[in-house]
Amino acid sequence: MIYLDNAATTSPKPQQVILEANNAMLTSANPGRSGHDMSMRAAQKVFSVRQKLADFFECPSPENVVFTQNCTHSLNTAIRGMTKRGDHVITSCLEHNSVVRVLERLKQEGRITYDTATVYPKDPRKTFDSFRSLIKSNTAMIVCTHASNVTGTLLPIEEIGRLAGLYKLKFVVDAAQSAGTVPISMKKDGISALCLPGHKGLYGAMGTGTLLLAEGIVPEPLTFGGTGSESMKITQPDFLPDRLESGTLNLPGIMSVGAGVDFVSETGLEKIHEYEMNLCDDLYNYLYNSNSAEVYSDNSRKFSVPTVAFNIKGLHSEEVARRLNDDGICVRAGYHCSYLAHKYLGTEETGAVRVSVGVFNRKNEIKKLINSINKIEKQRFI
Amino acid sequence: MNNYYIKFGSVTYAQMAQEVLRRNGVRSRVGKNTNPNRRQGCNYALFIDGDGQAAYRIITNENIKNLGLERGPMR
Repeated sequence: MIYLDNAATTSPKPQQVILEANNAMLTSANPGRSGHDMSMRAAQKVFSVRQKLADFFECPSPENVVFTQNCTHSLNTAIRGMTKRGDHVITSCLEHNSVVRVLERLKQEGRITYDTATVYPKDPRKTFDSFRSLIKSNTAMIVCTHASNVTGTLLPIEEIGRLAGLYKLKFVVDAAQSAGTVPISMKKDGISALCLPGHKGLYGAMGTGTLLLAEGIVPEPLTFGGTGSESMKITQPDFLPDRLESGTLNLPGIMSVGAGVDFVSETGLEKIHEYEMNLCDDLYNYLYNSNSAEVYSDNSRKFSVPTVAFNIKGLHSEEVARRLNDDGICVRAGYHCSYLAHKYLGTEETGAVRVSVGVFNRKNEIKKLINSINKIEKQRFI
Repeated sequence: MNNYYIKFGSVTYAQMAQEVLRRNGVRSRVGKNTNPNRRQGCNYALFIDGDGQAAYRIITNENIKNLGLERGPMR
């Protein structure tokens, strides 16, 4: 099979990631609970991954690196934990349901109101103005995706972060599609809470996520329980990361993420992005020049991550994906858990086909994809 | 022989402190405190190899949250 669904999860995982997770499964104890050598060694391993992530994303300190189950869990913790009754929140028109559903739920609970800013691909100024135009006296937070999981469009988070800083707003970033693909600096981008999965651009195992928090940001927890600290208190610790890490940590998962960060660092972030965008170029050019395809993405290095969304006229996206699967090609079609994005694109009827490449894809695979699409176009009314 | 150890409520803080001391040329080892008091509950000890009071000053200067400096038998 040719795997082109890396936006869902990267596959395959690098060998060093698999070995690290495997090693953790063979030798691990529960970190941060017992005092025996195995537990202490496990705790040290977890700490070293916190340090790696803190360095990679320019987070103030390792204790501000919180391990979660996935990016959705990170976003729920950040959005719910950092808003209070009466707050107004601004988000974008390209958000994944892991942002929008949280906001909508908080709105239905009567806790917050929210508005969506329009994103203008390749026009950061207009996007910035769109966000700024929505600021009210009770605006408390901006939460937005760094890169759309449907189109790959990059939002200008450095500018939006500056806007948030200007108005003293919390700035929560969903880096599900950008972490490990394009540089992100919490410091430079003015990010209060950076939410990311371990299993996409960082090449770790599924079921892992991280929430990185700026200095002084301590959200209310979603879950309460044992943290291996202050055990004689029946209240949740008020310090990070323990406050937000109740229950046993996913040690094999965390170790896999650490190895994934190493893999990305060793390969080179800019190199990965350029390589993957290069792979998309041929596909993008083919679709752009085709009379029977409509493409919703862009292949500019500055404004995109390597994801191409398109449709073949006359066919539902799921039908295209089914035919591609028959040819041994894995893509995702439909709505990508992103109602807002499809509403913005005008693809509510058909959804879209999404091709998302990874570092292990090759040019000949894209060639095969193009040939398959060509065949589907020719046979679309059969 | 009694050595100094610094107590931390969380293993992460003990590890952060260990890293800070390492950068300052002080060796230490993280372990579970085998003599916790009931009020503090379980906690972690950073056993200092050398001048415990100087090490504690380094930790407090870095504002690393801790439960205090103690002296006890070397494990």
